[in-house]
Amino acid sequence: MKKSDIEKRLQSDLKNATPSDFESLKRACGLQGEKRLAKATVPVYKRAVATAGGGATSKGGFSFGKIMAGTLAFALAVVVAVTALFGLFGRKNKPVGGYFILDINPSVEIDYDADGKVTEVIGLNEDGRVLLYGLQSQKGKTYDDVANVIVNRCLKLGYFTVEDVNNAILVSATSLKGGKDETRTNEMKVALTNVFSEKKMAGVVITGVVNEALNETATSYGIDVQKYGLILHYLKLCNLDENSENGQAVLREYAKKSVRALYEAIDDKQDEIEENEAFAPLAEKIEHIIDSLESTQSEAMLDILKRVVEDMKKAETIGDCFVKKGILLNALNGLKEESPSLKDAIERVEADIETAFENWFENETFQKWGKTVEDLFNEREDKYRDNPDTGGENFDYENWLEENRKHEEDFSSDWFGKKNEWKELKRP
Amino acid sequence: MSLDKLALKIAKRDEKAFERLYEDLRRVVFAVCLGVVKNRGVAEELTQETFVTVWQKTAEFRGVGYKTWILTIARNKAITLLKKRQRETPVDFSENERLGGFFEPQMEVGIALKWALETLDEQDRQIVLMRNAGMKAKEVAEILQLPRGTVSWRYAEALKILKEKLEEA
Repeated sequence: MKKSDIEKRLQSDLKNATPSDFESLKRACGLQGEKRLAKATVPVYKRAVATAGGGATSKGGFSFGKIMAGTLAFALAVVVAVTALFGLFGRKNKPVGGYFILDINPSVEIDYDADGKVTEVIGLNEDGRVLLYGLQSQKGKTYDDVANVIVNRCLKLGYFTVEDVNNAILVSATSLKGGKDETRTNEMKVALTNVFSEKKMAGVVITGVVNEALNETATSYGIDVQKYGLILHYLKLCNLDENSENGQAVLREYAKKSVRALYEAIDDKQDEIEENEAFAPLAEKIEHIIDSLESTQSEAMLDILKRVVEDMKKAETIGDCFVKKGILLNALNGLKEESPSLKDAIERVEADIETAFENWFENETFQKWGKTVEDLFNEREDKYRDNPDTGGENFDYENWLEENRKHEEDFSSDWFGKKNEWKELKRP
Repeated sequence: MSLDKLALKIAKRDEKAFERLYEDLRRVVFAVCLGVVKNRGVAEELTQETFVTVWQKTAEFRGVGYKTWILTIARNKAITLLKKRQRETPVDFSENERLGGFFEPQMEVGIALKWALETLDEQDRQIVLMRNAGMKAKEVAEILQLPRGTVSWRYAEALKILKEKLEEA
């Protein structure tokens, strides 16, 4: 038995034994138990069970009543059997639940049941969570209700502005049976365009990315274009070429993941990049401070100090940064003891390093790290408080749409490009 | 999301961040607790208690290693509870040992984990569980206050013992 086999077994046993009851933990922490709405479920098709009908019988032998009862029972059984059979075949055509993905820049998943009623609304990325922050349960609502809520919130939080021609939503519905649900997709499109029309605001709702090259490649991987686009975005963040060996491996792995998991992976990767880049400015500042010792220290000593600073640039956590700071300050303390005449100069450097660290914690990047969804929601709400929630009285949405079909086509063929441009514009 | 970011958000009572932390660290916290108390049910309770403390105290956290802080909380809770139960336990240590030092019946665990709990001594057990919960040797060394080389060596030896047991079984 190999070491790796033992480790696999241990890891599997640990995984199975580890508790995973977050709801219970929330209660223990005194947090409001979040009401998890039931996921969309496929209704159980109930088959009637035929029972032999009873009727008055006379003793001994057959009676008319008995014959009638028997005939009726038989007829009933036939009807039930036929209905059941019809049900089995007809079941293919029975509606089932599924989920919409609404991609604006906030990305939102809306789960629905077999009757087309909403069961849950989830933010898929940070903007999606900000968009939905504080929203009351939408369970049982229709598409029209939810479409209204989504568009209103986009206006309230500045993701849309009524006169902006670049307001756009990409919507798709996926059935729980698997595969796209064109009917539901179009129903949601109608609901959203109705809201645009009622609010007299410009905006397009597209139901797919119409780009032959993208479509063909996505199909070759067995996925739809929207998912393919997300994976390409992830590959770009990882600096991976889609056609490289690693790129292909990631693509095939992520093609199996859910859309929700893809959004999470993208969020994590973006966080990682942000964090990796966060410590570099601090380290550069420290390097500049160390440079002030150039005239007083040997090159060898300066090299040692700068190597510590180089490590600080690659720090993965604040803790790592502090450890490097500790090493630097220890080294500087050592220098002070060796060269008492340089005490003042070195103490100035030590003080500058402390100040650089304090200032860094006040900076925008670090402050942003601590922002919760509630903070971001409040910021956006404050900033876009004066955004009108309807357009001009004379605005005719249907006319505008007709005159801007090309605009709709542009979005449809280059959704990902347009979204990136637009995302930058809409940052608070 | 990094633990630093999670810590900042949890300090501001962000439930989503707390849930994320729970998902990321529940296995390793459980492994730390189980390594001390050897009893799955008790380790589950200690895991929950650890996260409750984390929720309550993150705003006061001032240190360089959020994960180290959390795992130290877990280990200290487990050790405190074990010592308390041992003080309360009557004389029959052999039975008590079999039950992992607790009167709570041992919940079922997989065979590899069972042998790790029953066969390995305290330190090896903790090293093996923590390493297989995803911790690096350096991290285990920090929590257990051992040299890193010792952690690596003892881990290798512990796996040899487990290998024999699993092959016999």
